[in-house]
Amino acid sequence: MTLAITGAIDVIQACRFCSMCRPACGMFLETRREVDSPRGVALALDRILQGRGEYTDEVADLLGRCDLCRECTEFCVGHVDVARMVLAGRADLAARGAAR
Amino acid sequence: MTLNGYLFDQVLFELVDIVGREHVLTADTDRLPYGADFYWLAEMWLARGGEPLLPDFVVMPGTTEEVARVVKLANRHRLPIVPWGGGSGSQGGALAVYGGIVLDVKRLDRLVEVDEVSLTMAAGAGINGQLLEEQLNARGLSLPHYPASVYWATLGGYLAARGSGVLSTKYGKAEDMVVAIEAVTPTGEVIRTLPVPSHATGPGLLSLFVGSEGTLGVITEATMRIIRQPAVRRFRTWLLQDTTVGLEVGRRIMHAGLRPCVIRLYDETATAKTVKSVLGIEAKGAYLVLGFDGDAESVDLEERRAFAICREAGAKDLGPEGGEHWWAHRYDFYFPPYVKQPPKLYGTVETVCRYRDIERLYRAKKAKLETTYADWKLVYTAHFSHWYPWGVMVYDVFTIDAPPADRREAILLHNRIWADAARTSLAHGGVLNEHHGIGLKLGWLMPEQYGPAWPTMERIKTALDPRNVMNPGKLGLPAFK
Repeated sequence: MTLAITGAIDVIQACRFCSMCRPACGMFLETRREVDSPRGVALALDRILQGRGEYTDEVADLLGRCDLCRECTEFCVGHVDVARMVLAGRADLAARGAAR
Repeated sequence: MTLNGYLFDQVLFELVDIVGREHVLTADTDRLPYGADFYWLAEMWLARGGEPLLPDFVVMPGTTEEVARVVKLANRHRLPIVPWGGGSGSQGGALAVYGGIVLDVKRLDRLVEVDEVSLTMAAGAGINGQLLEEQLNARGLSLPHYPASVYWATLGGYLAARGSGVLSTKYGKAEDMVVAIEAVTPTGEVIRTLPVPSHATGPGLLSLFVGSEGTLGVITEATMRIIRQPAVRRFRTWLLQDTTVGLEVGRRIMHAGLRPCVIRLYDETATAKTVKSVLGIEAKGAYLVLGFDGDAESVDLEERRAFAICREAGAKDLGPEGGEHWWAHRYDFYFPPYVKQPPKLYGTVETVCRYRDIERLYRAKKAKLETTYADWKLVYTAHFSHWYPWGVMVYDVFTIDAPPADRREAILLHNRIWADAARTSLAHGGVLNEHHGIGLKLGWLMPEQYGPAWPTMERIKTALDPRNVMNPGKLGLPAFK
């Protein structure tokens, strides 16, 4: 079965090494954790795409913590659609019967 | 994982006892972002499916006292401990390559004091650069340090890596703005440097920690000089005959006693690209952005004198538009889709030297890289953007669009290019780096750069960090064994 995040590979690759939207990310501002940002989500999903990671409980938690406010996309010069990546991850979780 | 069995659980228990369970991260997902900072090699390694080098624990202390206790724990268990601010460094300086503990200081993010009489402020080392600036701006103040990393870097990181921003020609680098720091030493003592940076009371303890990239301790708080936001900040662009003339114009402006906040000179290759994209015109020569700020009267006067120097050199006045555009979009190139990312191979091999050496250095490095790596279609561009009374920094960048597919071959090519660039800088009066730091990337060249002075650096490290737990293997200092 094809992973839904395959359709968000452009977002994953745009965000996995970028933290420029950090001042706009509510999730990050709440916890100050590196993982709680589009970069953290993208890195986790990138490992899954590479076949080197899985949808663990931690990844499910991470995807659930993003409230899809889209402030990151507003802040980003390239207006990268982070929500599309998060929703794709959640779709994969749902398909596995592990949706939160 | 460097800790086996119940020893992992013992250290975890002790860390939790210090900072609380929610501030000790051990899950793979939480640790993964620490597998790469902004270092090309670490990013490429992850992008191509390599196993990241991760810390065993990420610890986020909320107070300086907690930092000290974690450092003491690291000594007791002899675990490497790596300070982490924003993780925006490009040299691999914050990577936990030997496992152990990453000490993420981002919870130390309080604006502690704003002294509007002295124009200084103090804040926790983990405060985000942009969020700090917004708090100061709300009071009509500014820390005039605007690096490209401002959105993700921290105050402590600015100092740990001797960072620089785009207005450094007038306001200096982070190291020039710092007044005092609080730090935790590698053995866990909390110290404060003297309350002022200028004194005659012995060698500078402050400058020992600034630039130490976490190898000599953890900066936990910093007091910095600030300014009132200037009434006027204006830019003007010029087209000069070539880089040679541009370097002379910049030097004359600096030696005229003027205080431009920006002198940004692009070499011919960068000019062709920049002017076309910004102004939509074809241009041959060297593009120059000049900026002045302050009160209107002073800016008028300084502009008149600087513009006269430009005109005497035969420069063509391109007006303010290009400079204003650059200022408004100065960070755009670090956002997707503009920022360079693997699979491209790239690096900023910048350095600084005296005026008498700069042109020979620039031309030698350009020739060395373009010739040696012609088969790889290496593109070399440069601009000169941090000017001192005695010399100038060349911000030169190499890019290869299609490096080897094999990641170890790519690393080999990367390292060869960096070695050639660095040794060319050293041979022409330059240094390994001006404002990005040394980290893992350039550490191996530090003994070569320092020569007979290097053992002194090693002895300082040994004296302060006898168990070699504090960010080992960085700055060319010994690996963790």
